[in-house]
Amino acid sequence: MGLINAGRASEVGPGEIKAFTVAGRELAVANLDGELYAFDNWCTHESCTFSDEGELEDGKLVCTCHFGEFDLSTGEVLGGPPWEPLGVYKLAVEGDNLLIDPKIDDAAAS
Amino acid sequence: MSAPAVVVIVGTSAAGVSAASTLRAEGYDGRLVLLGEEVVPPYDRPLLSKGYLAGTVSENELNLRPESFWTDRDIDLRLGSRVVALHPSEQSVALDDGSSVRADAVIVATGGRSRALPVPGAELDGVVGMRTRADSDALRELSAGAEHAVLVGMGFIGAEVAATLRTLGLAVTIVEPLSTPLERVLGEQIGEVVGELHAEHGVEMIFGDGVIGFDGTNGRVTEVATTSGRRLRADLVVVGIGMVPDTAVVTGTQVAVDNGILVDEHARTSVPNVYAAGDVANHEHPFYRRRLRTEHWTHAVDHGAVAARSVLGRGDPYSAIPRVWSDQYDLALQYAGMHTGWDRLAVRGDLAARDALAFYVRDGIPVAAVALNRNREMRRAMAILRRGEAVDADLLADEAIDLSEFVA
Repeated sequence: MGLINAGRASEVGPGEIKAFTVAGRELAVANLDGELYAFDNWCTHESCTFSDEGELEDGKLVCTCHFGEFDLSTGEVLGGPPWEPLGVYKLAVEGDNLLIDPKIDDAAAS
Repeated sequence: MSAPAVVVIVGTSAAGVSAASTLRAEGYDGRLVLLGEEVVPPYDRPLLSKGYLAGTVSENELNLRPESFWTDRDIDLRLGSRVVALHPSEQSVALDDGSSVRADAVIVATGGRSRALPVPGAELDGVVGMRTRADSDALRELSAGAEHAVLVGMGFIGAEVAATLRTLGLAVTIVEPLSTPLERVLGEQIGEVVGELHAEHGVEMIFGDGVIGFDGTNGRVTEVATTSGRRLRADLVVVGIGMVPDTAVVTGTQVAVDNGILVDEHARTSVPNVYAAGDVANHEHPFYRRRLRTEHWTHAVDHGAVAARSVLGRGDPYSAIPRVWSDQYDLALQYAGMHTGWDRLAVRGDLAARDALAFYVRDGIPVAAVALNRNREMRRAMAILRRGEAVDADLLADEAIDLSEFVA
């Protein structure tokens, strides 16, 4: 499908995690020190979203509901109850346009 | 140190599964056997008192891992296999069917069993615990035709089961010897807030009273008798008064036991090549400079991983800050740290509105914290607990100050 326009990059301030719907998928975009990352908004453990319950901590993505921890770039589980990796997505910024490929980036995960 | 040729994990608990997963994730390529006494695949215990009991979580969703997980990682998962003895000097474990399994290293992750209530009638049908999937299945079946449930004990299990049974439409009465729910962990002030939540949802709570017996008809419970002379109608009873570590498998070995299997900060028991993790282990905790036997699910997962790395001669000493979550109705409760009493409760936010974070402060040092619907702020609270340094409690209670300022 390739990169499609998901919204405005400036909507996600430093340290923030915001939800975006891209091609029917509910994704989240995080801003870690100016760098943007896209991933599934729902934690792979239980019923919590990163846009509501997520935190960026020491460069990791944390689901504060039940203490799950993920690698922002690869989706790999770094700690806590979840065991399934999180889907991550290719993202690019052009001007203020946030471009996301709504197909899980398997290359990043491996 | 070379890796053992065969690692046997005893117990398909959260700790056991975590140990197995971690061994493979760490690149262990020897033979890996995971033995479970229960015939059902490893399951996610926290859901037993909540979604699974409510019927909103299916059997598949209850499983800790899909079936393919075990085959993909070449983990020999053997269900219905009860270990009756460890023979560390012979590098083997004995099963109840008379067979034995070679074990160059053993991780004991047997967890525990529900503490029994030693009163007349405890053996009646309709009196259940809440620890295993069989318990949750039994309770779900009982609750289908029931109107009145009586719960004994209002710790995490009692509180969560109460919330679920209320959503299923049962009348719920809880008998708790202390003066609030969760008083031992959270103290009276926070306990009362939790009690208020349950009262709003129609749970009848009887505090300062104990259960002295159960009466029944045709072998089935109908009534609960209390110390103060109450007689409570009961179509079913759930006893949630804690657990006892299941150390039976090390009986007859040199593995030291004292309120669980004694292990060091690397999950090593007193016998070489025997490790223990999770609820069953009474572990050295370098941060607290004492032993702890932690019963939290998060601990089981972390500690199982520590044991796995330890088998491979790797890993840092285990010194995680204990932490637990408990979802009840619309309350997300989290508790972190460990206290042996406190002299000041520093409250941020509004306890009555259940939008608050409170620190338990002892001698000026925040030693534990509880969050009511403040999961995100709890992260910063945990960083403060981890520092273990004195903090001005008035500033801690000041919402105008972001908690991150205390760890900057």
